[in-house]
Amino acid sequence: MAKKVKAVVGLQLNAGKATPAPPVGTALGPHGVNIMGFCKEYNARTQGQIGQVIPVVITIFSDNSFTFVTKTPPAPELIKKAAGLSSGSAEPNKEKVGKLTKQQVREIAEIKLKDLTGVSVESAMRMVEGTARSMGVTVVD
Amino acid sequence: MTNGEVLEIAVECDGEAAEAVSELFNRFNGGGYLDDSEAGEASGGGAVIEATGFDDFGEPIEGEYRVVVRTYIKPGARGDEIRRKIEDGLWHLSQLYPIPDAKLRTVREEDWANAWKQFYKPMRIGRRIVLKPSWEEYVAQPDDIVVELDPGMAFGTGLHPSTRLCIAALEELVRPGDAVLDVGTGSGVLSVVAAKLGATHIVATDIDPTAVQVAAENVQVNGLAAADAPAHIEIRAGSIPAGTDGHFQVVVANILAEVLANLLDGTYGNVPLANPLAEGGRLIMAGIIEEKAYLVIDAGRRHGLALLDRKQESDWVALVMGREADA
Repeated sequence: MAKKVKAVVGLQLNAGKATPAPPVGTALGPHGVNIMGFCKEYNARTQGQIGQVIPVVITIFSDNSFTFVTKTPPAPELIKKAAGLSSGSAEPNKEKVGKLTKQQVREIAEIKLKDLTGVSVESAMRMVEGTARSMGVTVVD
Repeated sequence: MTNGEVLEIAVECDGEAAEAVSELFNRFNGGGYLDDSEAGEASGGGAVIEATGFDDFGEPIEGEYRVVVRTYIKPGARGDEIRRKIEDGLWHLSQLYPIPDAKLRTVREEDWANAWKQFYKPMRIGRRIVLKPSWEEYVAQPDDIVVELDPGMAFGTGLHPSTRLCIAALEELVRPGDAVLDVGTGSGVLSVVAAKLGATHIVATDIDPTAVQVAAENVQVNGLAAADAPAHIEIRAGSIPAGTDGHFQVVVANILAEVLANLLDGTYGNVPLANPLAEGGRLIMAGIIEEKAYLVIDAGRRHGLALLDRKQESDWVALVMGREADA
């Protein structure tokens, strides 16, 4: 049954750990979404990915029902994990905080490919390298 | 700010600027990277991107489509620091992108925590059926048929015209003891209604595993999963069940015009939708936008069905068809 889309809302949440507190409650409550229902579904669907940030895009219909899709973790999160960092550099142009190998870049690019239609691994790798640079992480062969 | 209050920072912007603003919110307010990842716990947790202003096909409407990027900050010294960093960052971004000033407001917990519940009240549909959320009290009239349904995932919160049209048609057509097939059951609402109207054997199918699970929960909440329940509702993953030709007095399919036409034609290896109809049986089809009704009617006629009734609410149509032979 096709229904009118009222709003599309994107959030970044910790897998398996969504709660009705902000930002979930404040972002979805005013649209009439059953926020407990959303948390339950999100946590159930991301149970296997605990420890990662799993972005979610929620489509809310005019009758307040909703559907959602989960995305791959944000590139900076994957880069921090691969480089063993807790945070990126505050001054990425001056202070380098970590290194990634080309192979690690490729692995991250392959994860991100799921969200990028019509993009080659090579161009996904260039996007990952760019994000890494902006975090003060250098890529080595 | 007192406990339960959060500060909302909202910036209306689109495209690249929205990306940059949400990256800023995630960086300083707990979306979690760069130098402030612990803010994830202390704060509202990153950026929320909200887009509104879509047409019936989910495409942006020019002039109405807007994107707002928001973040929520908890009060306290830490929150003040996050807010300062964000305001600084927004100023720097405004040198690069034409973004409007951020709007700040305090959001109270009562504004959102239970706000969504106000959208759901007990609702009468058709003559006797009352859909009621679990948290609402409702004193039933003698003839009322109360169906408990919490809104949420999957389709069929009862608020959509298609669902209401189907319920009205079921109320007219289901007789005690009938067998009913519910194709694309979603929340299971139509199967529960059919059971409460006296159908004793119901098969509900859906190709979406979430729907199968939600439907099972709703069947249970309505006391229809017990072994001694007056009706037996069997929920199956899939489309039209094979081996049930001529079995059901009522078949209901609340899906979409194009899908219904395909189901009638039996494409994708499905059993044609009219096959499970018993002699004199009625097929209720909904989820149809008015201008696409002909697709379904034509497909029905190709398979020996005649149009017996047509119900409409706003742009939505429900069709009742039966075999020409016994129309």
